[in-house]
Amino acid sequence: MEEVKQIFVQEAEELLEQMEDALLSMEDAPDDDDYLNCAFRAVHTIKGSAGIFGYQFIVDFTHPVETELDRVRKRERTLESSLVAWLLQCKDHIANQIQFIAQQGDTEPLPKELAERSDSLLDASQINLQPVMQKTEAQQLPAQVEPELPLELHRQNNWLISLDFKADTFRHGLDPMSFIHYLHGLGEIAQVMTILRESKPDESIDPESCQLSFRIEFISTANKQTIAEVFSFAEDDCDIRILPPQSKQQHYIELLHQVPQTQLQQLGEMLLQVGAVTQSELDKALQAQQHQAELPHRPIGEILVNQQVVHRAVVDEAITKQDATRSHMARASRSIRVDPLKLGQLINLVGELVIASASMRTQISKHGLTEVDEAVTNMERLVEGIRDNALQLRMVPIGDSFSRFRRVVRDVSSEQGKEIELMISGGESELDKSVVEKLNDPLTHLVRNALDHGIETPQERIIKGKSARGTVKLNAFHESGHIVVEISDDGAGLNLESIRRKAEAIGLVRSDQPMTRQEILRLIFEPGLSTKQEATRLSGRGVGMDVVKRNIEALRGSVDLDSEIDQGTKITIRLPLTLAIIDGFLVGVGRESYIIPLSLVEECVEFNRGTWQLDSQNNFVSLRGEALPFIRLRDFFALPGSAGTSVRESLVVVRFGRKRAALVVEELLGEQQTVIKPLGAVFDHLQGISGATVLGSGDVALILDIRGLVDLAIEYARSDLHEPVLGSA
Amino acid sequence: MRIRTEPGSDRLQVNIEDELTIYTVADNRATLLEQWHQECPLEMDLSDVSEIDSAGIQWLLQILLEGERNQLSVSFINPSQPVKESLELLHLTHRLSGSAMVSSRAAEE
Repeated sequence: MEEVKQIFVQEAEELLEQMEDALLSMEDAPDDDDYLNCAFRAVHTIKGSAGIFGYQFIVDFTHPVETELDRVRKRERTLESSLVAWLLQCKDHIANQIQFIAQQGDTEPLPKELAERSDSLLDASQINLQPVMQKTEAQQLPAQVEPELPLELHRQNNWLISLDFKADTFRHGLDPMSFIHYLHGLGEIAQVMTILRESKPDESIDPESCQLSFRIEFISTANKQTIAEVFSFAEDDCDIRILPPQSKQQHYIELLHQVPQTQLQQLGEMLLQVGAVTQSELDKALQAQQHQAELPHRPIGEILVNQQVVHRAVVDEAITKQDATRSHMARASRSIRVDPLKLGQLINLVGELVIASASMRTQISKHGLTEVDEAVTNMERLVEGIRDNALQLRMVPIGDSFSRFRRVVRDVSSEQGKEIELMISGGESELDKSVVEKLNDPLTHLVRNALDHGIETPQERIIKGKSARGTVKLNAFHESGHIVVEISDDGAGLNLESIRRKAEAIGLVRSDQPMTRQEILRLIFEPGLSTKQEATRLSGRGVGMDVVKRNIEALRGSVDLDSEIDQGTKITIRLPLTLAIIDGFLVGVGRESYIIPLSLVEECVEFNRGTWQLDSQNNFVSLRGEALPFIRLRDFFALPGSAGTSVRESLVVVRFGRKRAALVVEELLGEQQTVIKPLGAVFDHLQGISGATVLGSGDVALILDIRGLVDLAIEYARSDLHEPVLGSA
Repeated sequence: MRIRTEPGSDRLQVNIEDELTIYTVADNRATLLEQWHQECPLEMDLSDVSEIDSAGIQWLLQILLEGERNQLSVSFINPSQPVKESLELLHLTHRLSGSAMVSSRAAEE
C-alpha cells in the first residue's frame, strides 16, 4: 500500500505543478482554453485517484473546485483574477492535503486546521465570486452559428455543393453544366440554384467570361471523396465546396471517436481519415493558411469551416479527440518511473565499461593485435553510444525549475507592490538531473535577490525614467559542454562605491588598493558583504552570494556578474552538463598524465618557436602576436626533474567563459573518454584539480580544474605586470 | 440570327438559329446589340437552337439581367428540346419561361 500511496502522491504533485502553471498562464491568456482544460483535467484526475485510494477529504474538496472550473469551461462564469487567486489557494491547499497523506499513516485523522481551511476556501467560492454571467453565454453563441449558406437549401440529409466557376472556365473548354449532368449518376439533385454573378454596372459584359455559380442540394449515399471526384476536372477553374449532410456529420463524429489514441495526428489528417474533407480541400486550406499575412496563422480547423467544407461540430470533435490523444500520450510517456539509484548504478557501470574498453584498446596497441582491432573499434563505438544514452536518461529540461519562479514573482509583486514581469527563455535546454536539483537553491537566491533588491518600486522606476514594470529574465543555453544560465533584471544595479566602502569597512581590501570594475563587482561574492541595509523576508537572511558561489563551484561551475547602476544586473552561471563522464583531452608532463575537459580546449599548438614564445619574466606567452597568461604544469605541480631544453613543450589553449589561458605541457596524448571519480574530502582544497580518472592502462590521471587554473594564470600574469592583461575585462 | 420588329409594336423579335454555345455567344451578342439598344422589350425565340452549353445559358441570363436593369420585358419562347433539357437540369425553366416580364423576385420562387 505504501508504494501505491507514493505513486499517488507523486502523480498528484506533478498534476498540481501543471495546474499551477496553467492557472498562471490563464491570467495572461484568458481566452486560451488549453490552460483551462489542463487545470480542469488536473483537478479531475486528482479527485479520481483520491477516490480510488479512499482519501475522501480530497474528493470532498476537489469536487466543488472541479465544478467551478467546469462552469468557467462552459462559459457560465468569467475568469477574473479573483477566481484565479482563489484557484491558486485551492491548489496550495490540495498540495497541503497531499503532503499530509505523504507524511502520515492512513489511519491518522485529518488535522483540524486542514479541514477548516477546506471549509473556508469553499465558502469563499460562494461569497466572493461573481454569480453566473448570462451575458457571456450570449456573446459566445454567434461563433457557433453555421457558415452562411442559403437557408432554403439547408436540409437535414442533403449534401450541399457549392460551385463558383472562375472567369476562364469556358475558355479552358469546360462546360459547368456537364458536371451537374454527371452528378445525376450519383444520386438525386433535389435543388439547383443557378446564380449569375453580377458584374459591376460599369463593366462591359463579356459573354465568354464565366460568371456562373451553382448551389446544389444533392441526395446521395456516395461518400465525399466520390462526389468530389466528379469535379476533380474543374478544380483549377472552380471553387468547390462540398458540405456533407447533417446525418453524415454524426457519422464523422462517430468515426472520429473511434480513432485509436495511439498516434498524435494533425487535425487535417484526422478529418481526411474519416472522410470529412478531401485531400484537395485540405491542401487548399493549408495553402490559404500559408498565405495568411497575419501571425499567428489561423488554425486549420477554422479555415476549413470558413471555406464551408466541413461543419464546425466535426472540427470540434476532431480537436477534442486530438487533445485527448495528446494528454493520453503525455501520460503514457510519463509513465515510466525509475528509481534514481538504479540510474546511478547504470551510469557507474557504464563508467566502468568505458574504462574497460579503454584498457582493451591499450592492450591491443601494446601487443599489436591487428585482427581484434576491428571488433574492438566496433565495440568502442557501441560503448560510446551506450554512454551517451545512459547520460541522456538523466537529462531533464531546466524549464521546470524555471517555471517555479512564476509563482515567486507573482507573490513578491503583490507583497511589495512592485510590477514585475518574468521572461523565461531556453527552458528546453537539458542538463543532468542531479545538477538541476543542486542548482535550485542558488537559482532561487539569485532570483529573489533580483526581485527584492534589483527591481525598484514603480514610483522609483518612473522617477528614473524607466517603465513602471520591471523585468526579470531567466535564460538558459548550451555552450561547449556546459549549460549557461543567465538571471538578469533591469533594476537598480549594484553600486560599486558602496560595495567598495563596505569591503574596506570589514577589512576585505585596503583603501589604497587599486581595483578594476570587475574586481569590485566580484567582491559581492565574498562572505559578509550584503549591500542592502535591511533584510526582507525573502532574501538577505545571511545566506549571501558567497554561498551561491560556493554551491555553484561545488558543481564544477562558475558564476559571473555584471551590473550597471540603474540599468540592471546580469548574473551568468556556467555549469557542466553532467557530473559523471566527459570527453577529455589527455596530456602528459614527465611521467604524469592529466585530463583537460575537451570542451574547454580551444586549440593545441605543438612545439614551434615560430608560433609562440614564452616570456617567463612577465609570465605570458605570445601566440601569433597575442599575449596569453600561462601556467607550466611541470612547475605548477612541482614535478621532479626539470623541463630542460631537450624537452619539447606544447601549448594547450583553454577557455573558460570569457577567459583564456595557455597550459604548457610536454606531451599531447589525444582524446580520452573520462569517467570522473571524486577525489574525496581530504583533497577538497587542492588547487587546480577537480577529480581523477582511471586510464586504460590502469594508471590514474588527474582531471585539471580549468576554471581555477585560468584564474591563477591570469593572477600570475597580472601580479608581474601590475595591470590587468586579459580576459576578465 | 434573325431580328425583326413586330409591326405596330416596339417589341424586338429575335430568332436564334443554329447553336448557342461558347463558339457563338460573342457574335450573337454583337449582332443583338446592333439592334437592341436596351430601349425596347425583347422576345427571343429559342425553337431553332440546336445545341446549348453553359455559356449559352449564361448569355440568356445576362440578357435577362440587362432587361431587368432597364425595366424592360425580356421573354423567351418556344425552347427547343436541347434548351428545355438544359433549363430543367439547372432548374431554370421557371425563371426563363413565359412571355411576361420576369422579375428577379419571381425567378427565385
